Amino acid sequence: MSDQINEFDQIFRDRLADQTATPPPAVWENIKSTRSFGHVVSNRISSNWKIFGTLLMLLLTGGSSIILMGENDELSGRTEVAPKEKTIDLPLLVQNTDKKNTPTTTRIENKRLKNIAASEVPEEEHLPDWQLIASLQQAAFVRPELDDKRLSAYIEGLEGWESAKPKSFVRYYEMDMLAKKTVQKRSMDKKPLRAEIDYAYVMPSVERKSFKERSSLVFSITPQTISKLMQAEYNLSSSYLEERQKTERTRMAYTFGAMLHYELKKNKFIETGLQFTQIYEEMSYEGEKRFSNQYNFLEIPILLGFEGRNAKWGWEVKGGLGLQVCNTYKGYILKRIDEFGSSKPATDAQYRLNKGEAVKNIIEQNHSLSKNQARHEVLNLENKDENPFKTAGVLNLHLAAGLTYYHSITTTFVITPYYRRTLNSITKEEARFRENIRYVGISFGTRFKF
Amino acid sequence: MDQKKLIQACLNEEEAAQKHLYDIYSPKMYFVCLRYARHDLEAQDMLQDGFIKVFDKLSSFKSKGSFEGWIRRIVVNTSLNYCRKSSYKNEQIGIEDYQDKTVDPKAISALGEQELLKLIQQLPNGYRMAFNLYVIEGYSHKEIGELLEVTESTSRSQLAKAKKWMQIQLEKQKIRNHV
Repeated sequence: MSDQINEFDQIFRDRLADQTATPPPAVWENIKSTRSFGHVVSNRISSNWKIFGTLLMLLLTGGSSIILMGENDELSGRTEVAPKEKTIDLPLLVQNTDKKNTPTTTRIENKRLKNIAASEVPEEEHLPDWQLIASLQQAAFVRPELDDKRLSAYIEGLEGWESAKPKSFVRYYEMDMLAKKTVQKRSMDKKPLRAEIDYAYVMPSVERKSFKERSSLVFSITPQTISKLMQAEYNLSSSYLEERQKTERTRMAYTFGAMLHYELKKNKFIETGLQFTQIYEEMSYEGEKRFSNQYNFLEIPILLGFEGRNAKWGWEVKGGLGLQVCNTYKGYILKRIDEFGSSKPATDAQYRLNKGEAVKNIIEQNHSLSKNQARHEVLNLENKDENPFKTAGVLNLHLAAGLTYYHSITTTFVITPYYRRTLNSITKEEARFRENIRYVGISFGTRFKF
Repeated sequence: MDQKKLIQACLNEEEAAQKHLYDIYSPKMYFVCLRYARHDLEAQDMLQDGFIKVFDKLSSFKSKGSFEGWIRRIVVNTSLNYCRKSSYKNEQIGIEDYQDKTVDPKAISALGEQELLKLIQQLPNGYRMAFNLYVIEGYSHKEIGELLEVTESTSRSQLAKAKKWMQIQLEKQKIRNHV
């Protein structure tokens, strides 16, 4: 019988193994049309993902550096402009002071004014007063170190100086008023209006904000709901993934973030740091018991954002990419069991874990199987060879928009609806299925200035 | 064109090279698909999907083994996946009532290639997969078990049932010829 069976097999093998048949031309046409541009590009990206990943990171790093450097240039440019404006403005003062011969002008001031008067400045370059005020207002975004003690004392008394933005627009108006008052007072002494305030102190004192002034630490916690998007590859039955979706249920997911928030020019900011995400889920298996699976993801995000504010309240929008650098997993998921010739695992739970037991499982880190659950039909996520998920290299897209409350100079509260999703699959290449995770949550954070 | 250059040109998405590669391997692969499919149209879909995957996954070919073998594996896997998706679970096979007889090799050898192919195509999906993988591709039951994620004994049983089913068909044909 055995020989007969072999002979039978051999006939088929000899006759059919190397047979050929010409496919209709339409097949090639379909292949050409199905392989769209996007298909080709995605193929190239996936085949060169390391290069593309590196380029992306370089682009992000380079982009943020350019923004930072651009800001430095702008600031340094601003300080360079100041002396020029001074040479334009001051002849007016010189004329006035020469004419009136003010007794209160100090010796140093006199010397400086005379030096400037000696320089050749054409009459037509004199700016009207409103331009001078406007230039001062534009420049005065940082509180200057004031020589005038009275003025300094007045500014100290102004409420909300530090939190107002733009910082000194209104304040300089008040300063100007104060100056006018002084002029009025001193007008009896026949003092010139413009010479009363030495505006020179304003311009050189416009310094760039230091790293410390621009930076703050953000701590946040984001409770969230997650949904898994599973997709079978060409050589895996999709019914396996359907079974998995039935058996796995997320019970808790949150992200804890510790980030550096750095202010850029024009209300933009950049955020980077560490985010730690934990997902706990229950798995219903053999209709008997549920137990918790645990996923831990450590991620480095780089987010660019834009914020606006008034004195106390503000808003922010941010988005960017994050790279998961360390993923760990605990628990079990269903093994790939094909419907072909095999019975499906019973997934309807007869015994359901109550909340108390679930919490207990989480606290005790209990991921064990019950005695009745067949070990060979599940994959142990702690076993490197069985685990189908990547331990690093998952790229996430981050999008968020929310409200900010400026509680004090050093503390800001942030509440932000947050959307995040994996761009590439969290599964290894050999897993034969793709799995993406989508997170939606609300982030509660606090920003602390240094 | 030398095979390495051809692969590289395909990786560079040169259409002429891809067409050339398709022309070389598609006749053999089409017949593979025909063996797994129930009819020509299904085989054409399998071939189309298989070659799209070949072009998409070409960068993962390591040039260590046979290129034809690599393409064949993809086409076979695509065909298997296609078979799984189709609703063979609802097929009424009804072979348990027949007596367990061995298939007469003479009856088989009298058939031509197209008749053999038709016989395979008429097999229920599950049997067809096991039969093709064991008898023609030369996989062992252990390998089939891993490939289809079933036990070794399931693979054996599927093959035995496939042969039994063929025997029934041959007997029916014999009766029709006599009549």
